[in-house]
Amino acid sequence: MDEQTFWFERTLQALEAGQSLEQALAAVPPALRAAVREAVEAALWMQNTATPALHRMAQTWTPPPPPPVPLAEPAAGPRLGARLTGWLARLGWAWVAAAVLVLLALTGGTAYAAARALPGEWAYSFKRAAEEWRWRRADDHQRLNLALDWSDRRLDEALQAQARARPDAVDQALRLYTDHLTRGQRIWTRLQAQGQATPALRHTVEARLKAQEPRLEALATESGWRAARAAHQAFVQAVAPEPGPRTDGPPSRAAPTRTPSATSAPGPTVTPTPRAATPTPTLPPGEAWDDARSTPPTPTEAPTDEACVSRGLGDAQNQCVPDDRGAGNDTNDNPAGSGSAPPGQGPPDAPPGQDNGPPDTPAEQDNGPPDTPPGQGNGPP
Amino acid sequence: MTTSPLAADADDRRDEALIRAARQGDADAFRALYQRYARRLYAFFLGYTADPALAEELVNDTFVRVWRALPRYQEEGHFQAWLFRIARNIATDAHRRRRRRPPEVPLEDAARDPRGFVEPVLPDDRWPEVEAALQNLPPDYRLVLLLRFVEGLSPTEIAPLLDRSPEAVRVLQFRALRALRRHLGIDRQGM
Repeated sequence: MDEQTFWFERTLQALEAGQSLEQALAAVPPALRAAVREAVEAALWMQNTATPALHRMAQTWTPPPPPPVPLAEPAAGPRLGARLTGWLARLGWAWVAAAVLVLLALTGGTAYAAARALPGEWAYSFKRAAEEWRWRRADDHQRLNLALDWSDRRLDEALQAQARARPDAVDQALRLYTDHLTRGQRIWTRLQAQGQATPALRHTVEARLKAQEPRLEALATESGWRAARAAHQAFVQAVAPEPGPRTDGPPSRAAPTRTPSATSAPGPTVTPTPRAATPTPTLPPGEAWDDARSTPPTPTEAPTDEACVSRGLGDAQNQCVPDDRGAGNDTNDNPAGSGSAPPGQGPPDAPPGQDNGPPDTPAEQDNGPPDTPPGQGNGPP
Repeated sequence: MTTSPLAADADDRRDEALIRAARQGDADAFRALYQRYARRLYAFFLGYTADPALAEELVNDTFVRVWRALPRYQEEGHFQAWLFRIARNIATDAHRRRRRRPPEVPLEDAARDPRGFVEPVLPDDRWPEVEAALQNLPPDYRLVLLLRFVEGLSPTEIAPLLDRSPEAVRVLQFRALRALRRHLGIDRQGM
């Protein structure tokens, strides 16, 4: 036992035995006497003043009814939330804060690594997952922008992978690039169909696609380039303004053209006139297809029905699968189907050359040449 | 404070009987335990917090926790030590909370607490002096002095409550008393 504590206990025992304080302290070694005296005086104060005061106050207190505990049920211990709070309190908030900081650092580190990751690296899946998450929450305008942003990003990744001699990563980046552009083109055609493809938007998209060309050409020796290039060209052509007096905006219904019908001999068949011929992929000026690419690349995937319909195309040349919406563009006006003149536009069996079109149909379209070449908007064979 | 060993033994046996009955769902038994210890706990919490409203709240919290822990109670014959261990944990938690948030109701306003659940406590003549002296002590010192003098527990009984050896409790008590003496400023002649 500590010497001071020993003499303190001895002094208390002496006091309990009836000695006075001075008598009890007389036995204490002089060096310890002052300290022991202080402790004894405080103990006496606790015993004679503090304790009675607290007990007197406790006696004046009327205890409220006992807490309403469900006595009939077995006590099952605190709830999970209370337990968690208890654990946190025991663990100490400082440790919890430290753990949160570590977690944040890990998350931030992963985000940083993901932002710089190339295809095939461990953090790349985080990057792609984040992109897909954004895609799912974006509207069409945002998606178009995202598709262009990410196609840019994929090109940069492909170039970086090329510099590091990683052909597998280049290939994957180019496949993703193709996918982004395909998605972007689909959204563009949808916006166009909805009349939301403004000239400003068209200009922006064109400019961004054009800015990709040098980087894309730098990857010309890589596998996957052809499909990427084809997707790029297809998008460029889809965005390119159409010849003629048409302006941007909602696609107007194609003016019907009377062409000889193969099935209904007596009367002309009203078929849609294509608004634009399908452009052929072209190379930049001064560039030629090499041996490996002796023919212009064919897009890896045919335009979807949706793209065909919204672009007003329905011909074989565009490799679009025609459907009832594309044939004649008159589904809404003419439920009877293509090949029948709209009501009030003359009898279906009117002789060729007769004006069966709408009153404001231009004459050259109205009386168009009967020998329109096949594949130029005559609908399904 | 000075109970004979025989009386203490009888008290312990009575506590054990009440606990067994309470564990089987006897509301009267639990109420009897509450009536038996509520004031002692109140004095302890009042000395520790110097806040009558908070002291009452902590008494309530202690018995809620006692109820929840009853199925795990295994300290046959040591209910008082077990009860004060719970009380000590609750007091420590309350101290931690108060460090972050100052008390909302000053002592002098406790009797007219708008919450209305606090019974008016008649302040003792010596209360201001006691409050000032105790509140100037660190929590550990306050705790050991309250358990030793107000609750009358021996250093051996206090030791498990504070997770210390009995010797360490004695040393802690000695230091606490010397610190208290310095805060008291008592006239030695008047002792």
